[in-house]
Order: sequence, then C-alpha cells, then structure tokens
Amino acid sequence: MRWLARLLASLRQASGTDGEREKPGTAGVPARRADAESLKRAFQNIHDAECVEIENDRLGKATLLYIRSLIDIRQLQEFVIAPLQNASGADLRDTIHAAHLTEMDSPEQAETAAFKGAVIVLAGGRLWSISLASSLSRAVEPSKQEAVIHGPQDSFTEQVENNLTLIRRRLAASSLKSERFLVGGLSHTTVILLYVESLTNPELVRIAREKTAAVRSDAIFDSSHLSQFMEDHIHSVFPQFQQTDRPDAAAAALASGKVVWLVENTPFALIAPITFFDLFQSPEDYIHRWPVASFLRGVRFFAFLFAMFLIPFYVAITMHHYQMVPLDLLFVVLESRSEIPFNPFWEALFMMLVLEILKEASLRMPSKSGQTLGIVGGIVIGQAGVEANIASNLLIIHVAVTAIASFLIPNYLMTNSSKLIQFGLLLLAAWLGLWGITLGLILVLIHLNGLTSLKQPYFAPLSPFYGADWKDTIVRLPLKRMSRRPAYLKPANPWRFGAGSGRPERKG
Amino acid sequence: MRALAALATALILAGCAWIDPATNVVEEISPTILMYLHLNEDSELESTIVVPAVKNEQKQVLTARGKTLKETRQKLNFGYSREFKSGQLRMLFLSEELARKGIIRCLNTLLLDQEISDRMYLAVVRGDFTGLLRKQIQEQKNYDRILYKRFRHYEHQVTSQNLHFFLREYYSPYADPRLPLFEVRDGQLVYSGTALFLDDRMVGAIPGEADAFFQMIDNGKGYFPNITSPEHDVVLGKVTTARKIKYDAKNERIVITVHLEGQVDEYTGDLNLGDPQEAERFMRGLKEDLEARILEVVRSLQELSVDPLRAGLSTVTLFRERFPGGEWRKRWPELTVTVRVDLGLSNLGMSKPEE
Amino acid sequence: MSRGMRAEERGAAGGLWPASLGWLFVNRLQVVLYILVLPHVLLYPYMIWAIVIVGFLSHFNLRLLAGWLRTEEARLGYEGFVRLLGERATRALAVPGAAALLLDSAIVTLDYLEVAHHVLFPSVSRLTLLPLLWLVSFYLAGQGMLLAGRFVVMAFIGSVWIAALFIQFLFPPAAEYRLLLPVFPKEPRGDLALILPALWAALSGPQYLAFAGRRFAPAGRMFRWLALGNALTVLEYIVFFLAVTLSFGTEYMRKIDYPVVQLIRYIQLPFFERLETVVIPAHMILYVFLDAFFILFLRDALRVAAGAARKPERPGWLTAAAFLWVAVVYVIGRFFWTNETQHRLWIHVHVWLAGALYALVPSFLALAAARRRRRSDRTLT
Repeated sequence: MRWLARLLASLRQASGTDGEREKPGTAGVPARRADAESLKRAFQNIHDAECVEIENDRLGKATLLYIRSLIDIRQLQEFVIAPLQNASGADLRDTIHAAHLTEMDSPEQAETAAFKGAVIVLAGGRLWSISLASSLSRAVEPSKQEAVIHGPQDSFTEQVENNLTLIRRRLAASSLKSERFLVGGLSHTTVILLYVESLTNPELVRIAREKTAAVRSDAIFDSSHLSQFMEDHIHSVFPQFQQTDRPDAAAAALASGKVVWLVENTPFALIAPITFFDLFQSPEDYIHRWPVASFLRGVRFFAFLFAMFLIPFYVAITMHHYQMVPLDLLFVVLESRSEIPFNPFWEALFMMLVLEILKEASLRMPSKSGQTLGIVGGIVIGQAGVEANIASNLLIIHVAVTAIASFLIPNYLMTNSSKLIQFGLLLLAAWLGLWGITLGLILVLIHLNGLTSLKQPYFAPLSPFYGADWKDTIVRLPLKRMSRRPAYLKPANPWRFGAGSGRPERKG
Repeated sequence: MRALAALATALILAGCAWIDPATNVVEEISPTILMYLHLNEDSELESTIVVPAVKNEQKQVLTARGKTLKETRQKLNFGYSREFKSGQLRMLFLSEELARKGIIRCLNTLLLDQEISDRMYLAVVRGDFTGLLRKQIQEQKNYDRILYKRFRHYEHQVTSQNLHFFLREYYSPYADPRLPLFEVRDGQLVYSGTALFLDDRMVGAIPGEADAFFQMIDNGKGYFPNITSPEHDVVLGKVTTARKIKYDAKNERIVITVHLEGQVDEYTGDLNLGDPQEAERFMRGLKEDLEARILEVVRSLQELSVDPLRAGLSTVTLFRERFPGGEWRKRWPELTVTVRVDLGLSNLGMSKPEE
Repeated sequence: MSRGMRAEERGAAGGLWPASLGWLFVNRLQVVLYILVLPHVLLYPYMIWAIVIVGFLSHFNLRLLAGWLRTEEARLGYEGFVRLLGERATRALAVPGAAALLLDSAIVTLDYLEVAHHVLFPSVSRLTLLPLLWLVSFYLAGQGMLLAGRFVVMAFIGSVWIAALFIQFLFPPAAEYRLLLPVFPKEPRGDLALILPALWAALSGPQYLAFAGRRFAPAGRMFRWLALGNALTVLEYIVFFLAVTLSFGTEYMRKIDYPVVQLIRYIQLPFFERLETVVIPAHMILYVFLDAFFILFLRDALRVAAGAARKPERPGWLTAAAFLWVAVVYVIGRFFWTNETQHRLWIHVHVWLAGALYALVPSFLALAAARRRRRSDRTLT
C-alpha cells in the first residue's frame, strides 16, 4: 500500500504544486555558476524571455533574465540596467536601490519569481530578483454586478495589489492581517488571505488557512474555481462563499469577523463564512434609512419565495386543487386553459425552458443583436404562443413576473440556483399538488439545515437559533442597535463599539 | 449509496400503492357553482346545475333525476363531456316542496363530501327556478355569478345562511334553522322573506313586510339602510340594531330588547318634529308600533313552535341547562315574550322650522 | 476562544443544544398529534377545565423530568443509564423501548396520513404518501441528532401560525358564546374516565427528552424552558377547543369526525379560501421532525440492545433503524389499519401507551437517580 501512496504523491507533484506559503527569503546560500545555464534552459522556447549580460570592472559579469511581456521595460532600463552599468561592487544591495530587491535561495524560486514579473540577476554567484511587474491593468471602475446608486463607486480590478490597497484604505489598522499563498501548479495564482486578527475567531482563520493550502489544481483563473476546491459541500446548489467586487462589502465582512480571499486576475473576492441570509443582503441596505432598508430586504425575501413558488403553486392549483381558486379567477383560468392541448405541468415546463433559452441566448449574443432578440423572444414568442394556444396568458404573466422577481436576489449565483429548485418543485407540484410542494420545501430546509460554510452552520441564525442576530437578517435595525458582531461567527471580540472610535485628530 | 437505496425503496413502495384515477386538472372538469334540488311530478329528486361554459360553448342548464343525490350527479356526469366537480359549489337552492319534506339527508351527503365548502349558501325557492335559470342564462352568461355576488353583498341585510350555520342550528336543541326564501316573480328572482324550519322540514315563512322586523331581532347586530313605517309616514335611514335576549326566570318569560339607532330620512306626516313635545309623541308612537310588530313576529314563531332566534340559548346558565334535551321545544310556544325597543333617533330630519 | 459567550451560545457552538430549545421541543412533541385529532371525547364546554387541570399535572411531571436532566447520569448518556440500572438491565429495557418508539411514531404518523388522505387525496393511497414522508425524515435523521434537534426551530415556525388562524373563530359572527355554557355544570355529562387519560396522552411527548440529556448544554434552569413549552401547549389546546366549541356546539361536534379539520376548511382570508390544502401539508414539517427524531432514538435503542453502544457509531445502524421503521409502519398501515374499528383501536392503544410512558419514564428515572444519590451519600458517610 505504501507504494501506492508514493505513486500518488509523485503524480501530485507532477501535476502542480500545492498552495505554498511564501517564506521570507533567507540570505547566505550562494547559487552555483551552472544555475545560469539551468535557468536559460527553463526559458527555452519562450520567445519573449530575454537575457542581457552586463559587464563591469567592479561588478564582474551580471546576467539579467526576464520575461519581457511581464515586466515594465522602461523601469528596467532606468532602475536596473543603468545602475548596474555603474555598479561599484558585486553586492547588488549597494547598487540597486529598488524597493523589491530580494535574494533568491534556489533556481526554482528564481524561476517562479521571473514568471511573476521579476528580473532575475545573476551576479557574483548570487541570484537576485527585482520585482518590476508591468502595470497593465484596468482602471478602477464602478461595479457592474453590484451597482448601487448611492455609495462608493469603486470596485476591484484584476490586480490583487490594487485590490489590497482599496481594502487597506478602508480598514486602516494593524490588526488587518494578510497572508499570501501561491495556488495552482501552472498558474501560480497569488491568493491573499485577509482577516482582522483582534476580532476574527482564530479557529476560522486556521480552517481558512488549511483549506487554501490544501487546494490541488494546476490552474486557478477565478475566485469561484478557488472556492470550489475549498467548499464543504460541492453538490449543493447553494453557494457557500460569497463573491463580491465591492471593496466596501469586503471591508464590512472583515469588520464583522469574516475572512476574505483576494485572488489575482479576477476582480471577485471571496468571503466566508456566510449564511443563507447573507445572500440577500446588499451594501445599499446600510445606506438607506433603516425602515426603508428593512422593507427592501423584506421585498427581496418575498421576491425570492415568490419566484420559487409562484409557478409550482399555479400548477398545483390548476392540477389538483381547483377548489382554492377565488370565484372570479376561476372563470378566467377556465377560459385561458380551455384550448391548450397540454396539461398545466407540460405547459409550465415548456415555457420555463423557453425562458431559460432566451436568457442564455441573450448572454451569448453579440451586443448589437441582443436587444432585437430580447424583443423577438419576449413579445413575439410570448404573444404568438398565446394565440397559437401553446400557452395560456396567465402562465405567460407568471413566467415573466417570476423571471423579473428572481433578479431581486443580490447574489447572482443564487438567482440561478433558485431556478433549479423551481424545476424540482414543479415536478413535485404536478405529482402531488400542494402536498408535494411542501415536501420539496421541507427537503430544501433540511438541506440548508445541514450545510456549512467554512465549517460554520449555513442556516444561522435560524438553526442554531441566535436571537440577537435577527437584528440584521430580515430587518435591518439601526446601526446604533447592532452593538454585537454576528454570533454565528463566534468572534474573539463580539463588541463592535469600543474605544478609539471618533477620536479627533490631534494637531501636532 | 444509502441515499440511492432509500430513494429506490421509497419510490417502489409509493409506486406499489399509487392510484389516482380522479383527475382534478382544471380543464378536464366542470366546476359548477350553483345547484338546485327539487322534486319532480313523480316526487323523485332532481338536481339542476348550471354548467360553466368556456370560450365558444353555450352555457347550459342541465337536470337529472334519481333516488339519491349522488345518483343524479352520476347521471349528469355521463351526459356531459367534462366531469362535474363540486369543490366550487357555492349556492344550493332547494325547492319549497323539497324543503317541506325534509332536507337533512341531502345536506348530510354534502357535508360528508370533503370537496364542498361549508360556506356554501343555502336558500329556498318558490316557483319554477329551472325555467328562470334557463331563460336568464341565455341573456346573461354570468347569471350564476351574479346571484352569488348578490348573496355576498346582502349577507348582513337579509337572512343569509350557509351550510355550517344551518347544521349548527339544526343539531342544537336550543335553536332551529332558517333560510332565505326566494320567489320567481316576473322572470326575476326576488327575495320574499325567511323560511322557517322545524328540524329539517320547512313549516312556514315570514313574509316580506314582516321580515324587516324579524331581521332586527335575529342578528345580534344589524344594519339596515331603510326601514319604512307607513302608519307613521316615516322612513328611517341608516338604522343599526342590537338585540339582547334574556330569560327572566322569576317571571318565566323571555325578554327581547332591541336597541335601535338611526335617523329620520323622510317624514310625510302632520306632526311638527321640531317641537319637542310632538317629537316625543312621535317617538313614543313609533316605539309602540315597533314593539307590537316585533311581538307579532315572535308570536307567529311560537305558533309554529320554531325558534330561529336561538332564544333557547339564553336559558342555559353557567351552572345548568334549565330545559335539557327536547324540553325547550315544548316550553317555547308557552312562554310569554316581552319586547322592548330602545329608540335612538339622532336626527329628526327637520330643518329648523321658520319662526 | 469563547470569551464573552453565554452558556447557551457556547452550547450551540460546541455541538450541543442550548437549553432554551427545550420549550420548542416540549411544545412540538406534545402538539404533534392532537392538533388535528383533538380527542373526540372533548365534547362538553366544561372540559376546558379538564385541559387546565391536566396541564398542571403535566407541569409537575416536567419538574421530575427537569430534575432528571440535571443529574450527571442524564448527561452521560449510555454510561449514565448503565450506572443507574446496570448494563444488563439497560440493554434489556432497550428492546421494549424500541418497540414503544416504533408503535408511538407509527400510530402518530399513520393518523396524520389518514387525515391527509381523507381530506386532500381521497384517490391516492396513504401508503403512497408514507414512503415520501419517510424519505424526507430519513434525510433529516441522516444529519445526526444535533442538526435534527436544531430543526425544531423550523418545525415550530412552520406550524405555529396555524393556531393563529384559529383566533378568528373566537369572535363573532362565527362564534356563539352561549355555546360555552354551562361551563360549571352541577351534573357533568361525559365519561371522565376516558377524557383525562386522553388529555394526558395529548400532553405526552417530552418524556423522550430524557434520553437526550447529553445533547443539552449544561444549564441550571432547564425546568423553566420545559414549563414554558407546556404552558404554550395548554394555551394552544384551549384556543383550539374554544374555537371548535364556539363554532360547532356540543351536539354538532358529536357528528363530525375531525372537528379541527372541519374548522380549517372554514377559514377565510381575503384572497385565500379552502386553506386545508395549505394547512394540512404544512403540518407535515412536524411529522418529518418527529419521525427523524424517533428514527435517531430507535438507532440508539438498537445499538444499546445489541451491546454496541460503546463502539464507535457506523452509518449502518441508522440505515437499519430507518428501514426497520418504514417496514413496521408500512406493514401496520397495509394490514392492520384498514377500517374504522381498527383505527379507533390504534387510537386507544396510543392513548394508553403514550400516557403510560409520559407518566412512568420521568418518575422512574428521577426515582432511580435519587435512590442512587442516597445510596452513594450513605456509602460516603
């Protein structure tokens, strides 16, 4: 059996490295002269890998290796090549005064650094790296997914260091700790784990750290790829990590006692642990007046339930419980259903599928034709369908309202999850009417009961029941009343309001 | 793994016992909202229903006969393309002949049917209701719905009864049920009083003119837009009434107190209501008249030995029932009844007379 | 790590139920059958006092239960019972215990399915609804005792609003207050010998908590939570009884099979009528919770009886318990519950079984614990 373990270990090593914590460089291990050759071999068949040799009386020979597409060429000339040409000695620390000068322990470390946008300098038998990453990036723009009308308009970009800046500006405290991981054997994606030490439960941080370090994949391109390796329940339709591209949301999560992951090359940060109710919260809730905010949250929950249950309810009533229909509506239903050849279940299924097809198609359409398709799909197909007696107009209304209501959920992943649940409930409704729908609902509740996010219960504050947390779940009570942090996070410091708030700046 | 085994077991067990021949899919059924039960010339039970029509179908009125209610239902089903379902049945009309014979058998059948709601309205009809339905359906497609809306609208102003209350009063030893009585007159369905029942048989009716007074003492609280008293040339408007029935043990009599509030809408008499003395005279006269009328109504109830006012309930105290079992039925006709009316007319309707 | 947390929260954090969950357990365990099937012997208005009296008796019984739950033996679970009664006795008692569990939950579940079948699905067999209910209960049971216990919050929220719907029947025009008279009769009618045991059985259910002692976080004042649950149950029963009596009256009630269900069919809300199609499925959440709970207890009973209580738990035990449960209930439903007489017989069986369990289990355990303490005190001196 041990040979099997060894075989698996060697396979794992071949496919990619584990997310390893970057250790601070230790000086004093000279690199062998042959390393230049090994590095040059690593850079074979990479046409944008360049090698520059600089010779100088005092310095000796210095070899520069870098990937041109990853570095900033202008800075190379100004901060590296020019000083090197005037070097006074082999110790680069006297010559180059760049901030990111680090000595490398091994050729592998140097290789990793080179592919992260560093210039490798081999001089005097020692390997150095100077980080000169290209600043190619998107400007900070308003978020498209989580737009708010009133509130901060900046959002994350694909550069993880910029994102960290946005967060550190909001939580200007030394207790905001950041740990850097490299995840992915091929992608070496930088993942930064953020938490506020004084208040986050150390157990949570430990679990987060272990999960990040245990990610085995060769390429992580997005935060949701990362989250899928860290989830407790991969088969559930409910997302166990929240993804946001708003720095204020991330900062608020950190201030509550949650853990945030910033992932390179994607603007979406991960937040955990979350609960089911967190999926219905929007940063705008804290900007509106509290009765208005409570009302809007209530509307969101109602819209979610409405979107999930309306069509199954309609199918259940028209197929099994005709006696529940109010009298006036009864004749409307009879009229509209009288010439449809299918029974309500097939009709509803068909229309829901058509709606899904329309939604997916509008995503893939080039933007020029997207609008036309929307009109064609929505109006023409809907209207023609009713007139050709494929669907009843009542059902078309239901489908349209459901589609719109499902977009009230702030979390995009949850919107699509609710569709799936809706299909399941539709089947149960057709089979056993309202009894079937209730069965489905109970199944969903039990499922939520057992879900965990970062090993914390997902359905808190309902199960386990934390009375105090209800101040910020469906209603949003005034911020003044929310003196404690959410109990399900078991924060090390549960009190929000403390000394040091609102101190006037002393004039020196 | 065990999830699959459990799912398979559940589906097999469920499948083994699955039967659902009864389909309730709404387009395959015909939910009627109105049913009329009557006896035909041969004293057989007949039931008539109004068939809800869709799109281009003609709305129909169908009749079938049989010994039992269910038999008539089956015959109706076999004669039409869609199955009739009673889940939406909202009005049940009974012919006077059938009502006089006894209706508890039919009602029990309906009670046991889990699909039928207890809020179904009951009414007695005098005249050829089937013919009226047939005629009206031609002109107004929604005649059954119109009738239902009428029931709903006038629920508190005229006698209105549903299955639940009817059966409660039927089974109670201290009350007797009553139903509204309609008549087919000049091609219309007209409300013409209250049908009185002894157990489940109709024994009489309170005619239209006296019905308003019956309403005053029937409901605990009531509201009437208008009450006319021709003898006093007055029309009272916006009348609210509250009645209390007490059993006076010492004198062995029933005391009915009616508190009436309203205003004078129209007065065509000679008295000058602006003058306090004449107004006093007017009010006293009106009060006595009302009391006499109400007493007349109560006497007619006693003659028939029926107690739709639920007066018997006032004879039960915290500690015992004075007339347990069927004794109340015997005592009620013999008791003296005293009626008191408290009149409170807020506005005598006279603008200040010219000085 | 758990600085600043109250004992209850720490309980929830550490995999235990907070003691405050106790009132939910008590209330829902008591109410589960008798909401729909309010004992058919409660016909006369003065029986409202019977409900109150039996409520008080139950109150004192819960004191015994709370006393038991406070002891160290209760907190130790299996080891505790072994200390109290000896290993052989514990294992022997587990067998009739398992049988009692099976019978109790079978009768309760089949009765609910009977109502659902009668009112909602006359054309679908009860035995179709049973496996589906079982499947969902099995799912919940598979999450373990801790999570299944937490589900009681949802079971409560999912069913408590039904009682609120009945408040409309306490006011006119539906209510006829005189139907409540006579409420202090000099010659009470009705058979008290049937009524009191039926009411006692209606308040049974919490005795099973005696076997879940180790699941609760240590809290000194368990009794107040149990008492709160009991009080809430009594209040609910009174509301139902008043609603039914005020709406129907004694004579009419005699003729109806399920007065409460009949009244549910009479509820009218602005856009909704015929709420029985919603209310009866909503009750299902209670039965899912109860059956999951019982399947878990059955699993424990089977392990104890087989002598495997000290060995680590394996998933096979839960599967065995679940399949045993559905097999027994299916067989009873298929062969022994086919007509009205058998139905009434099972109801009587349940009344005596549940009543006996509720009376005996807490007192027996409290006595045994007290005797043990006295004995150990004596040996110390």
